[in-house]
Amino acid sequence: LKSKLVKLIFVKVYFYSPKILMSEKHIVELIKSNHDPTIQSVYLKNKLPFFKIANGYKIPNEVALDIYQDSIVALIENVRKGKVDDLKSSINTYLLAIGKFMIFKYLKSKKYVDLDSVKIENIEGLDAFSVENESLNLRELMLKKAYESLGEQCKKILNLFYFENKKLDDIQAILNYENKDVLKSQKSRCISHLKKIIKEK
Amino acid sequence: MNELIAKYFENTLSDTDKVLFEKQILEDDTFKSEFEFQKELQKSIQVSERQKIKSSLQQFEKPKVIMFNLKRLYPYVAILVLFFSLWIIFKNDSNTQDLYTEYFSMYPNVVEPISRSSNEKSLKQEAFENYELGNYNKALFDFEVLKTSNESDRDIINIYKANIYLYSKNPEKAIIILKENLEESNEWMDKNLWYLSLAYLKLGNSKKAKETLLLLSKETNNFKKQETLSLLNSLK
Repeated sequence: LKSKLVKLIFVKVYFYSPKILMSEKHIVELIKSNHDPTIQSVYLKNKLPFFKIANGYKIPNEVALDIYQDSIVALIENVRKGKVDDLKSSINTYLLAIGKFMIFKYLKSKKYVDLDSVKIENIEGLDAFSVENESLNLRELMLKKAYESLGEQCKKILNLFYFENKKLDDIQAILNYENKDVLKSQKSRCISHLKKIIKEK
Repeated sequence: MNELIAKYFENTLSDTDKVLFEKQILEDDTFKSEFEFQKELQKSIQVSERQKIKSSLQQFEKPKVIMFNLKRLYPYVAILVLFFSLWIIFKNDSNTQDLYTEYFSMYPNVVEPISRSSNEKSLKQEAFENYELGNYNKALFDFEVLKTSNESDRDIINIYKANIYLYSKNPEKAIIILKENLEESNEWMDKNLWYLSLAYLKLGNSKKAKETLLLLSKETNNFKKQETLSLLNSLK
């Protein structure tokens, strides 16, 4: 209850009084725990600044919105992966840096600009970042469907391992496994189940 | 075999592990295909999870549906109901009070007109003189004495007493007296009913006032025929 209360107070403070800076660490922690109001407040707060940048490159609004949402996804992903734990700047600055990178990636794909000629802060892991099904080959697409059809426990384990890049020791702690071997065998059962689904198709 | 691949994804391969890993990839086809499978799996999971996050973000863009959270509305509803009922009460109240002041006038002394000539005044004369002159406390006392000695005038004396009570803003007492009168006899029916209805009006009980007025309107002998109808109309 106490931690819930603290969470609530921090969110209220962050949401209602932008001038009072809530500790960036806390925001990162809240995003990590998938706290919707925090994510929403970050989303709403940076939307206009992002659109100003995008408008500078004459990017249509629908495209800009799509890029913005991808940027937020990348932010959340990196937060969950623990890449943002020692953030030097503020979350908002970091998000806008991602946004800029995404804008240039888009412009490059449209051949509007040569990304290499523009000095832009490179953000690790964003080169191959994609949210679209088009980025997957047929087998990967089948795997994605199979993954989504798995039971909750399998999804949790595989998500933590392959998406959040957590070590098996950490997953054991997060999911309360008595020992690592039980977790390991559970994980390989999930994978062979996936393989089975793929083979059947 | 799986240990090495797991370490790869955990990013915990030591330098010797790395050498071993490279070797396995080149020499062991099963190892290679297992590794490639897990790489593909990772890519699919990434896209799947990203899409999940993105669709949750898209909720923020949807126009906000105003949720009628009933529990949230309770205090406002309570306040509204309170004000509404207060308004009804005061409206009603001020209405009945206004009507009362508009319609109430003391019943004139028709029993013992003041005569200047007579030196010796009877108690009855004195009582009504006090009444007419507005010495209501004295009049009330005289009436009280008169009532015990003069049974026949009891009804009319009661009406005057009720008038004094109404004048001194004591409609409850007036009601008791007038009701008593109505039970005892049919004399002075119209006066009894008229002042009873005004007493109810003074109390803010427009329902009872209306009932009484309706009874009165059926009386053939009514000293306030016109007023009865117009007051009834105003109370509707």
